[in-house]
Amino acid sequence: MEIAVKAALLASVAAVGALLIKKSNPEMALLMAFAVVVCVFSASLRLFGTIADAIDAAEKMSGMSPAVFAPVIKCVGIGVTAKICGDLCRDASQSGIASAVELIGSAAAVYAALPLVSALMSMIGGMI
Amino acid sequence: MRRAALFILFALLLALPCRAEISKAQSDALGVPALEQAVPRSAAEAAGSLSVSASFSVRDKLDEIWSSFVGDLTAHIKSGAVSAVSVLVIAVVCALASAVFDGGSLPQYINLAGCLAVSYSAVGDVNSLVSISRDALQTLSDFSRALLPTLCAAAASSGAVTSAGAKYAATALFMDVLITLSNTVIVPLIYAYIVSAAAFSALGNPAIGSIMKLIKWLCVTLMTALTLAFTAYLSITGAVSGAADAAVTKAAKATISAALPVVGGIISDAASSVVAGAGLLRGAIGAFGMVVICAVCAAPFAALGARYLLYKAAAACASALPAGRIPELINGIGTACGMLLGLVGSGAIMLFLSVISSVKAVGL
Repeated sequence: MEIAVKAALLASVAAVGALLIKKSNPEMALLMAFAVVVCVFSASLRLFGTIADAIDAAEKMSGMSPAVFAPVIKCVGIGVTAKICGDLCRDASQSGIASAVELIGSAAAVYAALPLVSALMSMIGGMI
Repeated sequence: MRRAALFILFALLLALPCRAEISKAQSDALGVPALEQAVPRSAAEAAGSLSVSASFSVRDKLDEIWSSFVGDLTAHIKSGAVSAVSVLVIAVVCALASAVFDGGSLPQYINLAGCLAVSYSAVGDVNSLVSISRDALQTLSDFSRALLPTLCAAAASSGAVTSAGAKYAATALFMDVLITLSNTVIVPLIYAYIVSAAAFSALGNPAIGSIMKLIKWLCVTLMTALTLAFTAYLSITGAVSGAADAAVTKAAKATISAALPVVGGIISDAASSVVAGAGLLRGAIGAFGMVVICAVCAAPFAALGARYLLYKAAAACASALPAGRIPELINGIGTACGMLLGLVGSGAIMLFLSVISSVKAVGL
């Protein structure tokens, strides 16, 4: 709660600031946005740590193999990173770069899921 | 004095308590000991020691089977909860990730990874359930090969000469057809259903969804049609041959009584007593057979029922989350467990109907 309020306040102030300086100095506005993203991420690391612990506990309780769960976590990480990076690129009016980032993000997500595909295929092949 | 003594002796003999017992010679002649030895180990574990006798308590045995079923169900729910929690954890992670996105292609790839992980963790589980179902059907079929000839012989010696053979032949044929269909068509269709459920939830193609529905319809229709065909065949055979048997028995009795004056009536009455004894044995074999069928089905029903309920519950929980099409996949896996349950149920119901029909002797 506390972290979310602080992050929201910081983001709002930074958004207003970026809007004010965007006309005179768009590079600085973009850097400011980037800095805020880094700050918010750093602040939320503790939160993500707690969530990761909860997921880890659930994973241990369910007895699920890390080989099953790791690709999902990787895909989520790749997706979130690609999304934020793409949005930052769009803020800098670089839609092409944003699309490229999202494309590489999609390809990386598929690549991360490939071990699951091959494991599933071999399992189905073994059954049939 | 001598007459009075004889009269008292006969009067005392008549006053002795009378109890229906199965003749050992008759039971040996019909192959009951071999039938008792053919009881599958899983049935003996669920129902304890089983034997064909007039004092066989069906209720006690059913109580034992029920206790065993409840124990198995509890154990399977505990072990199956692990699989259900696994798929729910994946659904929760995918739901958390999808909250970040407001469109675009990236959420689809996260959904794809989630669906693959759910499929991977569930397919192994379903594979073990398929083995359980196949084993249960095979056990039922093997036991029917020992039960049905004995029951048929008992039914034939109690007057149902034509109908017993016809019912035995029909049951043996339909059980073989069910097992062949299960191995060659239904189980591969269930695998295809799971694969298409995984593909549909990963890719979201409506055509794959239609294929899924078609496969489910095919499986359910095949099992229902086979059971209905068997029931109809048994009804018709029972009605036609049962009436013929009744007419033949009546005609034989009348012929013996009329052809041999005085002695003919005695022979006819003695034959009726033998037939009544065979009828008693037929009832005992029928009760024994039904208890064994229940005992064979108890463990597979517990395993399949527990997984069916758990996957359906997990799908209901996951559908409350914004987890894409993962809840549909979990629901599809639950449906596959339900189809396997239906497959074992079809085999059990066919044997049940056959036993009931043979014990009842006339009609279905």
